[in-house]
Amino acid sequence: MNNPTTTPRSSTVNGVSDSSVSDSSAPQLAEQLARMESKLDRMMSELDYLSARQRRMEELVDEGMPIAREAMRVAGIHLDAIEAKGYVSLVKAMKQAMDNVVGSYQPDDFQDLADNMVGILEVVRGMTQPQALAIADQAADVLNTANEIAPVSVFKAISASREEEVQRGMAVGLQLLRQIGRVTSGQASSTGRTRDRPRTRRAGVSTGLDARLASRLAPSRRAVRTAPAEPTAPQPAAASPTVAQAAKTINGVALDAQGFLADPSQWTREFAELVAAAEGVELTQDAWAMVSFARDSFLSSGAAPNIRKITKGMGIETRAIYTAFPKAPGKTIARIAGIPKPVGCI
Amino acid sequence: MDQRKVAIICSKGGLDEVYPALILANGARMSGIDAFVFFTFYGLDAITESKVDHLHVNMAGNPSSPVPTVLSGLPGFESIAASMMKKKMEELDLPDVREMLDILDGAGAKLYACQLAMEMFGREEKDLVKQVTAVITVGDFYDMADGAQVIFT
Repeated sequence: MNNPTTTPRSSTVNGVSDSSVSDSSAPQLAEQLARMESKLDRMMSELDYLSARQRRMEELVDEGMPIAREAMRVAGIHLDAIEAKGYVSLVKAMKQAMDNVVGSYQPDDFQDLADNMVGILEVVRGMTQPQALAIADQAADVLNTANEIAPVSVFKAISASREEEVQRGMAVGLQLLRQIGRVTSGQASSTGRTRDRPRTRRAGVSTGLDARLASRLAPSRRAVRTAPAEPTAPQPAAASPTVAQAAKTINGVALDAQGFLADPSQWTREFAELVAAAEGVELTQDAWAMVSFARDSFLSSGAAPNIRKITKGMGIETRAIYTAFPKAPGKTIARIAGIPKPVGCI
Repeated sequence: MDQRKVAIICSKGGLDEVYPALILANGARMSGIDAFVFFTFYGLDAITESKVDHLHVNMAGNPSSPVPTVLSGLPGFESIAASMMKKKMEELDLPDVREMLDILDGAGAKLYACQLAMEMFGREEKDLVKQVTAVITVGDFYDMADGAQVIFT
């Protein structure tokens, strides 16, 4: 205000304030008043606006507060509910778990982790194969419905063990256990922790390796097994050295390797008598009956009858057949009857 | 050439354990081989008159059994298994044990009972089937088995 350039203006102001009545300044005063009035008007309207705004703000606050309070209350309830559900303690526990994780790992471990990352990723990839996921999904389904499944008795469990699905599942489980056992025994035998790494990596390969080893070993095993059998192989077909066999033919009729008539249609009564004589058997009436029964039986059924068929068919005692043909009656009768050797154990 | 000879020892009384001995013996006779069977311990059941038609099949502890061992031990299971086996044998027209003994007798195979086992089980000669030739001791057995092939079942 002491600035000299503003002096004329300040003097006029002083003039207005000091002397309200001045002839020379009357129109000037009126002008000033009008200006002040308009200024005041502007200020008043501004004040009105401000006060209205203030009022609205207050109204807003008045109306907003209950809402905000309600919101806070609801949030509080929700937080309470969350805490009641154990989320908070879960988070706290997780924090502790994380602390443990971080605390129990050392820089070296993280180095290992980085080194094993490929292996871990392989495991994850293996676990996320569609098949593995499907198995896990179905297993989870079963676990979800676990309380609906009735308890199983021992017998049920046993009979279930005969189901193909269960058996396959058990086989897979056993294979899994085997694999785990292989890996853990590998770890147990290794001295340092750092050596675990390649071992666990190799676990997946081991089955393939085993298969390769097995296939490589198999031929040699087979060779060992067959080796002692070879000397016995070239032995001639063993047969009781009967006259009939030695002759190979009787009366010009061909016999097979065991002394049976090669072609049953070539049989004659004379042939039968020759064979019986060669076998040292006397062809009594009973013996003839047995021979012809056997021959008829063969011709009608196509199969040489065994001793039991002859005894049952003829209604005779076993003893009778052994009396007529003391040595190997079934075969002897077949030779004499010109029919093939009877098969069967009885 | 010496006459071939087999001595078969039957020491068990299950249907499935008796048959092999009897069939081996009969097969030997069918092949012109002398044969005799020595029945001892539970094998005696096969030549005991009251038991010969009621031999059972014990599936318990049998790894070839089609049923789990736990089930095989249930009461009556032996009878079921035995009747199933007998049915199958009938289908194949195999003789039952009594007929097998008869066939063996007719075929000239000798059947012997073990004296010690007879005493142990309190059996007398009159309890045995008629096809049994004699009750003998183990010493007698070895005398008879001289020069024979011995088969233990």
